[in-house]
Amino acid sequence: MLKVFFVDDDTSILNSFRRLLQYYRKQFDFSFFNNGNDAVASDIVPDVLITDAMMPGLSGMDLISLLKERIPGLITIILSGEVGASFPDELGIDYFLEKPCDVEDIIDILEKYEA
Amino acid sequence: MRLFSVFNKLSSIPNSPFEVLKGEYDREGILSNSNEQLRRIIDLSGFSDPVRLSDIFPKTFPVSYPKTMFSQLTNESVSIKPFFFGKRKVSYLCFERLGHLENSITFIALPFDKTSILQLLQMYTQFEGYYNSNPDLVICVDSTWHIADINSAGYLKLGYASKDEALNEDINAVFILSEEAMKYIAGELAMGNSITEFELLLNQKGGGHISGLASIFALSYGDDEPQMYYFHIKDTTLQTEAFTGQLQMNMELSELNEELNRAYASMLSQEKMAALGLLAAGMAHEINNPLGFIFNNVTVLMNHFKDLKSFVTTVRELYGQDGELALKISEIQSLDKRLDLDFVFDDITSIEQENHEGIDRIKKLLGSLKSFARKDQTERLSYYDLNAAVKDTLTISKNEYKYSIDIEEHYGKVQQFLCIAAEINQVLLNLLINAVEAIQQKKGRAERGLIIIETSQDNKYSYFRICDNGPGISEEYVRKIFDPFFTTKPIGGGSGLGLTLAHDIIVNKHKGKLEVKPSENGACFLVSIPRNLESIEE
Repeated sequence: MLKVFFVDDDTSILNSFRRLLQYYRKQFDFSFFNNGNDAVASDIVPDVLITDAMMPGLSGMDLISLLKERIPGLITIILSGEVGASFPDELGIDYFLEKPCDVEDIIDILEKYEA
Repeated sequence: MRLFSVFNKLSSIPNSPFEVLKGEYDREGILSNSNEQLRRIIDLSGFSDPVRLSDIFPKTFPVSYPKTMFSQLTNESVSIKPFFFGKRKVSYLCFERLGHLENSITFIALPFDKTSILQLLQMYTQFEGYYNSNPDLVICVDSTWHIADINSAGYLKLGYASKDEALNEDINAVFILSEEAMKYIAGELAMGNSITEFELLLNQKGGGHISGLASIFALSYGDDEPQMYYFHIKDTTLQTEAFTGQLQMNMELSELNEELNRAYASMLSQEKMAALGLLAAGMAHEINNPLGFIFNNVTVLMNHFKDLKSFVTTVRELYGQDGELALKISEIQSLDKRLDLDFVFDDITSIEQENHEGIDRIKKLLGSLKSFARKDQTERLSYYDLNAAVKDTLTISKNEYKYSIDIEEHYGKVQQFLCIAAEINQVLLNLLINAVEAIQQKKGRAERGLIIIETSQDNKYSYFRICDNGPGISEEYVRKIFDPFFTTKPIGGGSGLGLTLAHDIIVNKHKGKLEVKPSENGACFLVSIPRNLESIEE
């Protein structure tokens, strides 16, 4: 089963995604974190990282580069609510989703990588 | 005429070392208007008035002399004549000129010796020099306002080929003078006054113009001679042109200045717009988050609702079906377990709470934006709640600082005061954003910055202080930070007008104070706004 990390510092947002994505819990193995450090500290090795861009402490970008270094082939999805946000190409971010986003968009991406 | 002027000049020098004799004789040879020297000779001769020329100098001017002269002289003549003083014979250079009314002849006699001739020549040269090598125009006008004499600079500048061509020109054709100006000149000259620094415009023969600055004076060749008017005119055409050029340049400069002012004003308002734009972007982001989870939660809520509906539908099937009750109950229990209804009920409660929170966040944000922007419509004074305004400003700009900076808020007791609310809001926002940007310039991302906001009041002022722990402002920049376009941000990073705008609002408009304290541990801005403001300086 595809292991997916979901990181957002806004607990309400995190909870709302946790609820929505639990309908797909038989399909994907989700872990939710409200900060980057907890995600980095986790024992689970994810296949996909879905993260908010702007977070205190470790930002979405920091988290992506940290985890990518450790896990080659990590699929990265960034969620951003900022108007006109741009991210450096070097980060190799695979997908950009604008907030508020449809959960189906996330599932569509995840299904591409299902074994 | 010029020679006469020189003779005349020599004859009128009081206590002159020269025995210059000057007087007038009529057709009968009777003397009048004798100068000091001639008078002395007459007195010594023992004759009493009326004295004839032939009485004093019988050998030089015989009785028949006047008659001959009046019949021969048309204008003036110069001759060398022997004068006898007792046994002493002295040669005199004698200048004679027929008077204006042709009933007198003025004579001026100068001893014909080396000293006086040299003196005469020197004066003549000077006069000629004054006249002809003078770069200024010297125009001699007679009492009928026609040119009687003109120097070379004069006729050349006026576009005449020769002096003769210029002579007898009506001065009204040369000078552009109003009737009033003419009257004024004639009046002043008649009273014996001279006129200086008189601005004139002269026609050139070719059609051009000369502007000049004239000294005008009257000169008489004899006591009953008509006055001659001398116009000594300095050509100021070039200066005038230069002045006109200067004027033109001044006008262009003032136009440029105006344009600059307009550009400056528009930049200031753009600065306002920039702050609002920044705000709007932050707001969009801030609204996105609560909207996002409300959106997600509503989706989940609908799923929960479907579950509940199916549960309720199943339970309803119990109604009126006795025999199979036991079976049904186990069916209901398994459905209950499958749907995890306990969780659904709990979750609906928390969804409801979160949605509430989301809606509250949007409401608060919109409320802050409204109170921030509402007063922007009016430039009038209104009562202002400083503490509420600080909170509003923090809410709407939250997106700028929440990831990297902690805010410490210290609210003192501050009574409402009169000010232009939108403008004080603008200052609050500018100073806050400045503090945020200062911290972001300095700190690494992991290290959180700190901004301390305090409000207070005393008898005269309401205060707010915004301190940050950014890099601070060095001593050399403290004086410049309120200057327009001064910025330490990279090109495109800041307009350099934020603090200028704040200074304008606080100091110029509200008569308050905007002070900055340089420090190594960040910058502190203290804003003081008078509590008793009644009107606004525009």
